[in-house]
Amino acid sequence: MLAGTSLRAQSASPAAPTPPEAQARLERVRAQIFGSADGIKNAVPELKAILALDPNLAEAHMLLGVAYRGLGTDALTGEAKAELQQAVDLDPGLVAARLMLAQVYFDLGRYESARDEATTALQLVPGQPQFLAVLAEAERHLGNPTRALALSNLAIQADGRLPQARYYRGLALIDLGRRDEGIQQLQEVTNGGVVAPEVYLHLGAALTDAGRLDDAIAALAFGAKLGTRTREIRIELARAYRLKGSLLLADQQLTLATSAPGNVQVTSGYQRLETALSRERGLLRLRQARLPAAAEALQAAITMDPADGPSHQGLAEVYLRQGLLPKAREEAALAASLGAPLPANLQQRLGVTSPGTAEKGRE
Amino acid sequence: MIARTWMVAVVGLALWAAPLTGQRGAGAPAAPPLVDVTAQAKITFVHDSGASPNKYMVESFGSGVAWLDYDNDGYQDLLFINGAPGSSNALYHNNKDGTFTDVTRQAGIAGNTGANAKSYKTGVAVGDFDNDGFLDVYVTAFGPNILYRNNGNGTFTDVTATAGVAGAPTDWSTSTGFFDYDHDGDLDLYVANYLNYKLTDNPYCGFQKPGYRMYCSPTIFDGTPDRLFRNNGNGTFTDVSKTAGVANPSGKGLGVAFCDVDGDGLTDVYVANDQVRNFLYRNNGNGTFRDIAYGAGVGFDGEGKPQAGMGTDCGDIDGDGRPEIFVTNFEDELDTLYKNLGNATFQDVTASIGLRSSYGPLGFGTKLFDLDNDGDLDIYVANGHVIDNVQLYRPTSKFAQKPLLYENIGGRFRDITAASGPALQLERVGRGLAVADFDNDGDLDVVVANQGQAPLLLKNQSPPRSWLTIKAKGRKSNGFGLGARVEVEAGGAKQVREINNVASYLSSNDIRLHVGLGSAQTVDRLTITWPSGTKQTLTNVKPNQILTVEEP
Repeated sequence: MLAGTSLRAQSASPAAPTPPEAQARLERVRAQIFGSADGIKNAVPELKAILALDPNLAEAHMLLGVAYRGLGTDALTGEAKAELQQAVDLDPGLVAARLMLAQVYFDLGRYESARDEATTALQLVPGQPQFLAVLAEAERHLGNPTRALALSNLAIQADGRLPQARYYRGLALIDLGRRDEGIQQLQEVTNGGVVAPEVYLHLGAALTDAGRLDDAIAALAFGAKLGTRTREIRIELARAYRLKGSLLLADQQLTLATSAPGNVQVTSGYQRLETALSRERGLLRLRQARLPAAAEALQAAITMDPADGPSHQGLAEVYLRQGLLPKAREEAALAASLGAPLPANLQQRLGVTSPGTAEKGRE
Repeated sequence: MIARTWMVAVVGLALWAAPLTGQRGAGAPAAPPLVDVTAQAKITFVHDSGASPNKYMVESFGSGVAWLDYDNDGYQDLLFINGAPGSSNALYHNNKDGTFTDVTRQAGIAGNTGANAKSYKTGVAVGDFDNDGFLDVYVTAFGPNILYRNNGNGTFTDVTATAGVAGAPTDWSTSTGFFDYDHDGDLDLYVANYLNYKLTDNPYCGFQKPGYRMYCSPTIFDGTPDRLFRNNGNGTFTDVSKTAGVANPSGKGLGVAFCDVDGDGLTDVYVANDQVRNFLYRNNGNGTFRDIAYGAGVGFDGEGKPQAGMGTDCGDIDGDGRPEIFVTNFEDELDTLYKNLGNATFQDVTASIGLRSSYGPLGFGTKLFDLDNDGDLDIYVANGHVIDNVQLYRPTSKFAQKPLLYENIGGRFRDITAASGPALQLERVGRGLAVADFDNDGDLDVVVANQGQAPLLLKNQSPPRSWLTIKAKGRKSNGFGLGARVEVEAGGAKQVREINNVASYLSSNDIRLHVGLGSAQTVDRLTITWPSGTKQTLTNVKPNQILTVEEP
């Protein structure tokens, strides 16, 4: 994660030097954290022990933040952010901490904060490719894919081997409607040996959208083994299986993606995930001709997000097949207004017409 | 010492189980220890949270309440802080007959005009910052905080600007307290701050369906540093947060407690943070603090996880002379009791000490106090969820919740809520909580500030036992002796306490020290170590009195 990035900006005010003994312990912990998942778990108590001796060691706070984020649980995201913020507060020049902090802001959907962090870091280390890449991704999330593409190109110019910049470039291309180029960029990243689950998630989704279902399934199945973001990946994998007609496999993936009852969170990311899960379950049940179950799942998705066009579209088809034509027309109109009109043949059966085609349909 | 404490506790238990004859008829059912007297006390205040469809987070954290004898008539008056912009605080004068009179307007402490008109008011601290013998009031807010100087004639003057303690206009300040951290004889001010939050940055959280919008998790917002204001001794303060070492920007402070955790005579600061680790600022004695939470083992729960800390208090639960730390937390988290092992180290003993029933509710205000005067500290917790429509998401959760009352039995706790009468069976949205002996009858009463609801004044009618209330008058030390260590030896047991009104959530307690004495008929020895370092010993003190002790 810190390849090519010096921990501290040379231009920043020097922080108090870390005592040699503590520095040696920190070096060992850093090797642990970037070694294995077990290493991360073991690093946490060791870092707490180091901080018990000196609570003002910025690098220890940074590594603890990295470790917490590496554990991948939502419950520790806030603490990861807290440790990284304390690291930056103790040593404003510790740019590596700012990089990780920006990543945590991505996790939390706080893209403006990520942009701020990357911008501040770039003032300390102008042109640093990793921060250019992070800034690019923040801009993409903030709806500026053209600027994102430009920034990621700059990052690649500064460091052609930086997979993060290529990954973000791929996403920017997809957002700009240049899907095939985006897929190619993401494939270069995975072919380069990167094993980040989010790369496989986005690659798989783009391949599914492109109708390359076998490639999508291969990418997503690999990503699902990587330990984090597995629920999102499994929902996407279920979609690919459904479109391929492997309905039993799709069902299995949705079962695996279902969270424990009662584990409700209030983050927008969680709610998007639950909406996606219900939508996909509804569309699968529709494909299985289990119409009441399909209606129930799609209604659940709409409860979570009334503006989810594909769910309205699916529900319109359910009602059509149930012979509930007024309700089907109502849902079809809603779907069309949300940019997900029914396919022409279904519109014909319903006796309605909508402008445009089903570009943003449930596929 | 533990054995002697046990003895007192066992005696206390026996008395609890069998009320004294002569107080009630033989065989009569035990009266509940706490009885709702809100209406008969003529308290009509209703908290306004400012709840809106926009679900601003600041609407969901309620406000605090303070006991203070603002007119020095010997009886504790009551100040409720109100939340919504434009809403008025309420100061109630104690009429000494069990009733109160609203004197807010005359006192000039409404806090809803001028620079404060748009604030959401939150917490309250009480202390005599100018050592004139009258208690002053500091009110925190999402917006500028307010310092009210007590004029000594039943009115207050807003001296915030002169004193320089408003904080930043964007601060979301919460719990707060006066203490003399530098032992210079005047009271300084600690202010916990919660989130770096703006009404204009208010993401939509929850499902998109109408009625499902919910208050967001604090995780998505950044923390913000607490503030420490050093009293300059001339009516002004200096913000020394950074140089003192308490300006951690990752903090999401909701609760603050003061106590001397390591017995060095200096007041330390514990901060309960929401969803990030808690802080324990050890007072270095040179104007600075060091956060020792990692080494002390009080930053996380026993499994090493950060919790959603809300309210907090500290006190000697087990009679070993060292203060434990107690923190209330979110639902599906235990309220945590950290046992003080000495040498500024602690152990999470929550699960093994009888506090498992705290796992379900969402705890806020809390106080360790001797409810039944049996010589040990019991626990009251006010509960209530932060998400008003939580049942749409978790049918098993409730916005309004019952409180928890734990009786201390030899250093372990028994949940006695269900057996404590009807007042404790009603579900409310509990937030601030404070205790005081408002009727001077020798036991501690409780007031709970509920969010968006009327408060709850609970009169203590536990069976009579011996007690002593100490009103400290400092000379070299601050005027009310805050931070003094008090050792009370009576009935073969020794209790170690501190004079300290800061604890709970957003609230301030009786500034007098109340000590339950069980069946003791005399206090053999009373030793006060004042913040100035002066040690004072009284012997053969009669119990069942409010004793004014002046610093020699």
